[in-house]
Amino acid sequence: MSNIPADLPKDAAARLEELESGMFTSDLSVNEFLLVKQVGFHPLGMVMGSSIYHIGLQKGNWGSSQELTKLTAAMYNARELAMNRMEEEADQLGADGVVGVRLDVNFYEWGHDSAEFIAVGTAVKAEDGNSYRNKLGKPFTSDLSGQDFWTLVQTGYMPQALVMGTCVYHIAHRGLGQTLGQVGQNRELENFTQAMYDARELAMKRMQDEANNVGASGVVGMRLEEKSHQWGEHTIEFLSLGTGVARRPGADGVSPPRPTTIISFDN
Amino acid sequence: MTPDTAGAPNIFDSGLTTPDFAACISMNLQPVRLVQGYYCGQISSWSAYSGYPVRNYPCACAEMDMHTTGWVGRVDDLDRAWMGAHQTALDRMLQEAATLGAHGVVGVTTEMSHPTNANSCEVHLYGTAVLSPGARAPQQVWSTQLAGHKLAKLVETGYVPSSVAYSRCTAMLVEGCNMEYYGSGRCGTGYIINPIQDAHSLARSGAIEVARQMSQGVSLYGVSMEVHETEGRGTSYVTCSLRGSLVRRVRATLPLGPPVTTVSLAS
Amino acid sequence: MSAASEAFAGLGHEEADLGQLGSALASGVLAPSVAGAGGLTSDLSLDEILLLHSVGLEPVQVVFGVGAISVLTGVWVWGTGLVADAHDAFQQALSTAKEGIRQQIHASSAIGVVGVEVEIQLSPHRSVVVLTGTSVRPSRDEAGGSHFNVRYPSPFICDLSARDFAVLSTAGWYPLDLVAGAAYVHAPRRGVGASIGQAAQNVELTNFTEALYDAREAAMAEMQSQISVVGGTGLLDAKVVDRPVSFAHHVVEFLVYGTAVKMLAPSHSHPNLSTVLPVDDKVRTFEATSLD
Repeated sequence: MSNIPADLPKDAAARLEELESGMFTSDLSVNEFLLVKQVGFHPLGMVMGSSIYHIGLQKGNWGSSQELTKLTAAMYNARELAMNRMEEEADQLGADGVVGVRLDVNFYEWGHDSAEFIAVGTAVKAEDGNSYRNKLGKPFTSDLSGQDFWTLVQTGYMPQALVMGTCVYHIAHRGLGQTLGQVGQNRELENFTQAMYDARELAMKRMQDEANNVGASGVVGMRLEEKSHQWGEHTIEFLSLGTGVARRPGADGVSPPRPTTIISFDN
Repeated sequence: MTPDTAGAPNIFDSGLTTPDFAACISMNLQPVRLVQGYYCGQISSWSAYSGYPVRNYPCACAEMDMHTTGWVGRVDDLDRAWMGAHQTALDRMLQEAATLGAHGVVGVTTEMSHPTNANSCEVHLYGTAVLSPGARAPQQVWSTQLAGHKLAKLVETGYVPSSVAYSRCTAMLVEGCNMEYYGSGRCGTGYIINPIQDAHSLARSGAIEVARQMSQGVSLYGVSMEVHETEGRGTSYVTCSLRGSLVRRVRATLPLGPPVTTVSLAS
Repeated sequence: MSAASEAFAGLGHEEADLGQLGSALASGVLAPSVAGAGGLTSDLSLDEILLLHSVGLEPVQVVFGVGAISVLTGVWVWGTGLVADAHDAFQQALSTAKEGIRQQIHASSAIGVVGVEVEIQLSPHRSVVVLTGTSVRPSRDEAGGSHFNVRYPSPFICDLSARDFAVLSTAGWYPLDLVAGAAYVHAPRRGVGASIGQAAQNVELTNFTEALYDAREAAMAEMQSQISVVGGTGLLDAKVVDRPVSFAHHVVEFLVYGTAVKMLAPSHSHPNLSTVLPVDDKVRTFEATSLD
């Protein structure tokens, strides 16, 4: 354990060392655990990464819509720090990947423009002895549930990395004259449409770039989250998240199972 | 309280969903009509204070200025009022079912509330009365919260429904200096606060005990336990209520085969 | 379904009629309210009871345990590092509650408790833990035997549902005990401004990160050491509680708990899975809203 990254707290080193003895901890449900086992992976332990990050002040120009690059950088870097630490913990355990990753942001009252970014997931290792790490030699990460992970593997694909793109955007306030002039009219608010459109495009583009970098051939379970956090309603973070996937070598003959259609009597 | 039974005899009405209806028909249970029982009453406002001690807590310390004895006890007037209200409403519902010549009431829903203030109580039970064509008239109409295939499964596995049930127990905690001493943290960390543990235990075990007495020879299944706490100056109440279905086992349970495990592809 | 309809035809009569009902039931073995089955309470759903029966267990009754432990006055004043008193009181409350539920399990001749609901209350002067679940015991078949073959040296406590218990045990794994780790940590007091000088900067607050990260690791390490103590080889369905203390916002409460499990079968058995596609989506019924 002498090679523990300096980035990780000392308690983490001791905890991970204990996990190497074969005991595991996991926040997978019983069903997820069985499904992960079913596709040949065994849980190693819960891994996490945390970063408390001061987000520099940046005010948007009242009347114009624009990206707040400093805020974007803060939101991105802080998540990267948390994710990297989680990957380091997984690496220490000799994991092939991390499933069920959750990314959370906590704002505390005492935080003064700072927030805690946390990444938590369950590190897993393949039971067949092969390596399933991604192109960058890192454990794969994925926010798929155990059920979705099982289903994905059935299709011949493997997760590569949890990919994300973010963009903090300031949406212009509308001038008073503008508002008055349009009372009683039905019309598109073109500048609003354009601003929202641009911000989403930027977030998605950045996510796609990340997916390219890890050699993913696609992204599944992608979703777009829009949050104002503590910035007021005109400043919005657009966060695009998903799991980058690539076809597993030697999975050419694999075809996904055909489901039986059922009707259950559950209420 | 007297239902209008003069309606067209060939038309039934029921609160059953289509699958539940299908299950009833396959069990040879013919829905008759929706039946209900209702009770609205007043609870004496001073009855809440007529508790009696189960356990006393003499003063634990010499240093305290005041030496007062605290106690935990039952306040059963309120509990009796609510359980009586439930029983009356249930009797009325069963009476209505019996008038229709029904054998049982399935899918019973229970609603309980304080309609005007804390000193009034309201209980409303309703369900679908069913009859087994060809069977002789019952001496006692049975009732259950279950309906449909769940009910069929119950019977297949050797149980028969008996009645819906409700039990309740309120524990009262009167603080003495024992509580003030340990419970206020003045003494230090790590002291067991007996009055609190006992009040919580008394409410729960009381409700379970009442249910046991009610269910002589039968079992109470599908229990939902609700615990409510009210803290006042020097006096707190913990109320525990149980709701469930009394069922009777008439056969040894046949072991169920292993369930079919499936993964659902619906999200 | 003829057995069911026969059963209903006989319902509602005195016990004397049960003989008639019993003979009507196809498989026959009749006992008016099977021995020992009287007066049982359980908060399990019928499905869960059936699943338990399928692995050879039956519910006994609702059991609970309560732990209420005092916390020294003044520990919530802004300080540094971990709030040891709050942690100690929580762990003591949990073990008191576990002791209470174990006594009730013993008293009801059960082998363990499933579906434990964990309630945790923290107030300035006390930490309260209440555990509620249903105790279970091996069910006897007609010959008086049981096909639940696992012998527990001491009662197990598990916050997995009865359904999860049944599913897990068919794969060869069994729950042992409820384990938990806790950490209450003060946010570092040094002002943010003092530590970075300039409010406009994007910068990681390393002392904050370290304090909270350490606390989380400490709680998880504590849970892990409890797993070793009870002889578990793993923990499933960890629940994570992560929030500022309601009456002392500068203290962050971090709790992690779950059920320690161990594989008791010679090897893990994989379930036979088939994929299904439910076609019973809720049908949208007619909806009308007022237009005024």
